[in-house]
Amino acid sequence: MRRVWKIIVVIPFFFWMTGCWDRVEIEERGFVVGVAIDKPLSAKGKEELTKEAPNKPQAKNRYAVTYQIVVPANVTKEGVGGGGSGGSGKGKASMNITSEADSIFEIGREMSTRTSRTPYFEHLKVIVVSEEVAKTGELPTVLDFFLRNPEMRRGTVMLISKGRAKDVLEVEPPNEKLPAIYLQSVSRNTFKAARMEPIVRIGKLQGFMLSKQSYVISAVSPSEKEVKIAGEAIFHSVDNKMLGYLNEEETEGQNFLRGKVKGGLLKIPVKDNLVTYEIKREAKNIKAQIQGKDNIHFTIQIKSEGNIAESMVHLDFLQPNRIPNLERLVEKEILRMTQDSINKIQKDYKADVIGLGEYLENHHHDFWLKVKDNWDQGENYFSKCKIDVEADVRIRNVGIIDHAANQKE
Amino acid sequence: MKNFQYGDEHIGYKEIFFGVSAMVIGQGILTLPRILTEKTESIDGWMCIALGGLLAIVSAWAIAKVSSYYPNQPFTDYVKVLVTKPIGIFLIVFFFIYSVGFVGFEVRALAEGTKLYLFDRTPVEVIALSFFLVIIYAVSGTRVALLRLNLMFTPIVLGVTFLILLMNLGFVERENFQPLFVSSWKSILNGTKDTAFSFLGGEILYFYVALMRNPKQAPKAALLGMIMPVLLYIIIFLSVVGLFGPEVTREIMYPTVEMAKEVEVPGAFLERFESLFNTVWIMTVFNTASMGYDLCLILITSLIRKGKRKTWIILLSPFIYLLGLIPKNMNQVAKALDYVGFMGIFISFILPFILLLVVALRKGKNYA
Amino acid sequence: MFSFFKWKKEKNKPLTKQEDEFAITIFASVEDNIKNIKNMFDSPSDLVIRRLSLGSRGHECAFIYIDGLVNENLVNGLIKNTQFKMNQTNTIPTDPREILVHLEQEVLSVQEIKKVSTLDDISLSILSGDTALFVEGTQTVLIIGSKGWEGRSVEEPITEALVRGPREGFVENIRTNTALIRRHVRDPNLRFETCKVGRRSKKDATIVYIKGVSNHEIVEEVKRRIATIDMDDVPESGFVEQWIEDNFLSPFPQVQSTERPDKATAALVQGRVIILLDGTPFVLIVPVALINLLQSPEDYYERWMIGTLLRILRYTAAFVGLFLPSIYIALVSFQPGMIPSKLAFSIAGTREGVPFPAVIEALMMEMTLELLREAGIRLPKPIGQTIGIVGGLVIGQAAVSAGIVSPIMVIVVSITAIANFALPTYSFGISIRILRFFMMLASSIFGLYGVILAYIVINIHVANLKSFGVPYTTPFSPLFLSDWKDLLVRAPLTMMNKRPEMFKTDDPIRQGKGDQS
Repeated sequence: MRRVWKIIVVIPFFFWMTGCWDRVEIEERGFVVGVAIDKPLSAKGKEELTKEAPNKPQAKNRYAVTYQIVVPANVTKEGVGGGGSGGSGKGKASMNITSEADSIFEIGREMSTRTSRTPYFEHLKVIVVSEEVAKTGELPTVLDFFLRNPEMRRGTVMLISKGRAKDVLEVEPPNEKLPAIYLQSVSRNTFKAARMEPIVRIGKLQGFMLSKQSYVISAVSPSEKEVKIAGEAIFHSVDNKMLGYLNEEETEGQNFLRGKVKGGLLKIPVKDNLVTYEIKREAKNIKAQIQGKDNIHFTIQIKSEGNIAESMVHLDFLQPNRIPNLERLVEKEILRMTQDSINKIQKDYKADVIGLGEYLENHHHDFWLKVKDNWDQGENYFSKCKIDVEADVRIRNVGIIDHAANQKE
Repeated sequence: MKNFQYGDEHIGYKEIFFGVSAMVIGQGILTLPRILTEKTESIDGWMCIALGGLLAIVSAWAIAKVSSYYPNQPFTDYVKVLVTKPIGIFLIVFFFIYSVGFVGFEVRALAEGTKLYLFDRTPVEVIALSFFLVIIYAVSGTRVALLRLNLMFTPIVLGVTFLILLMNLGFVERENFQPLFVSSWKSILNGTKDTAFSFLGGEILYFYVALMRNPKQAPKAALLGMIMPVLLYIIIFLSVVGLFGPEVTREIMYPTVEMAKEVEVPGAFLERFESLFNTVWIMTVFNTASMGYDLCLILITSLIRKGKRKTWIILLSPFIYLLGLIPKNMNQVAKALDYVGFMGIFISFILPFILLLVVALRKGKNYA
Repeated sequence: MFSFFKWKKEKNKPLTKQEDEFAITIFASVEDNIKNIKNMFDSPSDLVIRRLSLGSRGHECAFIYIDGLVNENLVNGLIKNTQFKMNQTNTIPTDPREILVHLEQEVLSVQEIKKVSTLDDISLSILSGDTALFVEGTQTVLIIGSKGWEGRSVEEPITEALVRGPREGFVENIRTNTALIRRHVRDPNLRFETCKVGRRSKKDATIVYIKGVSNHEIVEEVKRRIATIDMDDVPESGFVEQWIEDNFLSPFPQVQSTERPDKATAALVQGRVIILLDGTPFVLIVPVALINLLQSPEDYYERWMIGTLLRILRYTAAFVGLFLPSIYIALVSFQPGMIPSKLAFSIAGTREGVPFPAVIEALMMEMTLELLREAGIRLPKPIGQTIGIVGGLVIGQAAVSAGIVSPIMVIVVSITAIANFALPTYSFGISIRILRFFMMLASSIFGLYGVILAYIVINIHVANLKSFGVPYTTPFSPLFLSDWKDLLVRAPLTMMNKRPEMFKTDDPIRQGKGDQS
């Protein structure tokens, strides 16, 4: 009896001697912070593989995947050195490694043989997919690995690149050390500028794909030192194929229609110049009148609150009618902008990215069940419905001076 | 020093209350949102939880009521009086098989989940073994201490869970809460059946009411103790579905863990909350499994009166551990837990009413 | 679980063996008695025998005491007084027994006097500093209380310094200590029950409690346990503590010790029992719950908000002291995904080039720190500080620049050490230190999972632990909600009307409501 107890007590010590299966010191991990997915530049890889092992199973498509890995030593070093004398060009805080294969997981494994570090995805910040890949409708296949692996987080930001995705990760931002983190924070900020769709997290994207909704993802275009996130790529619900882009104007309009504007500005023409309205708050409300599948009438009411941020004309804002008048002008501007977006979305792309289907599902469930399969596909009732926009703007304050600085009236 | 006690080996109202809550909150919470969204439309799964919860609450009350008729007698004693000895012994054996399976598979399920999220190469066997050793250590102590552990862990569990829910509030999307009431009654009943598995745990009342100083309080304590997990489950379900939407919830293995992973407070020191959630999760399963093991021991020592508690721990432990290792993968573990769950449904949801009926009949006879 | 550690006590084997031959009776003749006592003590140099002839008839008597243990002024005065008074009066009775009564009632002007008639009592009294007066012709001996050896005066306790609070501390003399307690609690129900402990040392141990407040069962249990003490020497109250504690396999202290009379009396009125031992300033308080070890008298002396803040700070300190290094190990070596991204990268950066895994690094640093602490205690105070500077600053800096440890590890270990010093109870600090190593081992095997399992194991242990029948984890579990007023939050004094329920006091009400509410 006692012996048995002794054995039980001793077992933990065996753990300690044999254990530590999973111990990988933090400096031995290759933190992947960004992933870029492209189509391979040439078909050479596939041909070689077929030659090498003709019977080896192969996927339909091959990808060139770039992993951005942190070089931790250089993340901290620069802060100490300041004017580092010894070749600061070499001390980049991250490195990009590109590999080509048909399985994304395989690329990750292959990477560990090339970098001495095993890839570790818990700190993955952005996934950039090139428009080339996006247009083929392979998004779900590509992203499966990033959703399935328990190391992944659902908060990873998704971006679509105009041009090759790898170039996006190659930017050298002057103020941030890691391009991926730079991308993440840029996408967070531009969202506030109303020019961009709220950040699409990969988890949310899975939701779109599973619920068969059309969706938009922010588009990014790379340049040497910085990236520009503006406009968005629009995807169709059925095949997840990218249809095209909405430009910045249309994006802003679409954001208004979804009630997701968190900031930004509107320029209103007054007299021969501009007054700038700063958006502080925005909300939308949808109403629908259903008179048949082909005859649905939506009214989207947009409410906004904001300030006058800038005035290039000499106006007396204290005049009693001034602010209501300005409010009407802002409303007009909102209507103009949203109408442009609606035209593009409804008539050109015919993909419901303003959440009307969702509204029907939530509020007119029985009707939705009837039109569900032909909403923005097949018959495409979406493109046939009538959408009206109403705007209600309140200007809360005009700043701390009254007239503009130029005195001439 | 010899242990000195002053009437402290009895438990009160609060211990029963927390005991039931801790026993019920367990593995089920992790997968329940997925199972329910699979069965029902939109967010209607909460009705299943409410229905299943109602059943659980009533039957917990019934168990406590039956047990409180026999103060200071555990199930193993009074069941023989109540339904004749042979049937009683059959029930005890049945109960024993149930609790052995329950502990074994519960430990395995925890090990599988832990491996998925926290480990990569560590074998499941080792994860399960280390957890099981902790349970063995717990059941080697006194039974009252076991119940007191609930009081220590359950507040942590609730606190952390609510913290996570609170942090997620900003991510919850209003659209996901609509439409309401669109599932058919059939699918809701179907889902209710599944929630029943998650509300197993009232069976501890068969035994622990006997330890109570004042068994009259038992039914009320059981009732309230059951209400807590029901509410918790509804809240968790609503926020998981509110966060992910029904379509995604359906696809995620452990939606509740993913919810904890979703929390990212940018810039905050504790950017990631799932570590806290893992803690909580292991604690709840520990409570559940250790009380389950304690039931095994009570049952077996009542069947075979030879041998001390510790002897039985040594004899049973390898068996339970190996039993837990039989399933080959996560799906089989889930299936095994379902089979055990069916036995549990009989014990916790059907048997109490039968016993209550018998008690009523006997009482009637006595008075007549 | 640890039953194989139990030893079997050898029963009833006498420990004290008397070597010399002497009679155990008291003789009527003073001369015989002197001879007998001399034999018993083997005529040591500090044994003083002062013979006197009293009165006109020259009645023989002798004072016997031990030099150095008695108050010399008192004894000298006594002898002088006796001679003077006896010679002055002519009405000295002839019967020795009456002489004794006469001496006791009229001559000897001292505080404490008693009659004894066994040799054991006499020797014990002499050895504890009393003076024995033998009178010719009687077998009864007068014992005159004359204890008065050199001792420390009442000073401020060093181990439990406070910003606000009384500056007096217990001393080695048990009589002074009982007086200190009496001065705080002037309740006629305050009970002192003294017994001798130690076969050879025969020290006074006094159990102090307030009758009608303390749970009588606990008091009985304390008495029972004290009575079981069977050692030859009890040099310090730590011996008593270790003999009467519930579980000697536990790292947690199950008896609280203090040097502060205010703390001791606060415990008394809470319904707890105090054990004083002669020869040590540390008194024991039983029973104890885990939370008592995290409380300091200052929590109550300062206003309640300050008290609450300090208390929360201390809980944090205990948490940090227990968990920080193990969590660091777990996160760095197993789950770096749970560290915020930027922090993770910079930790990885600073660890670049460190040759050891985080566990070894942490163990190394912890060992160094423990050594420093130990060395600092041994050394005289001025040098102790030097060690702190050399060890803490120089070695730390050098180790970092040599690349043996990472700077973050140094921070982690230092914070842990500081947190540990913030704990008000020294012995509890040590338990936390021990358990910290346990946690570190667990986390080095399983990472975060190991930390959680270790935490559960500690909880299981604590839930099974009891101190004199009081569960160690009260008032968390068993739950006493009314005691939570004095747990995380130290409620305003006017609200704490009840004594701690967890000690199951005989008198539950502590105070009136006041008129503030």
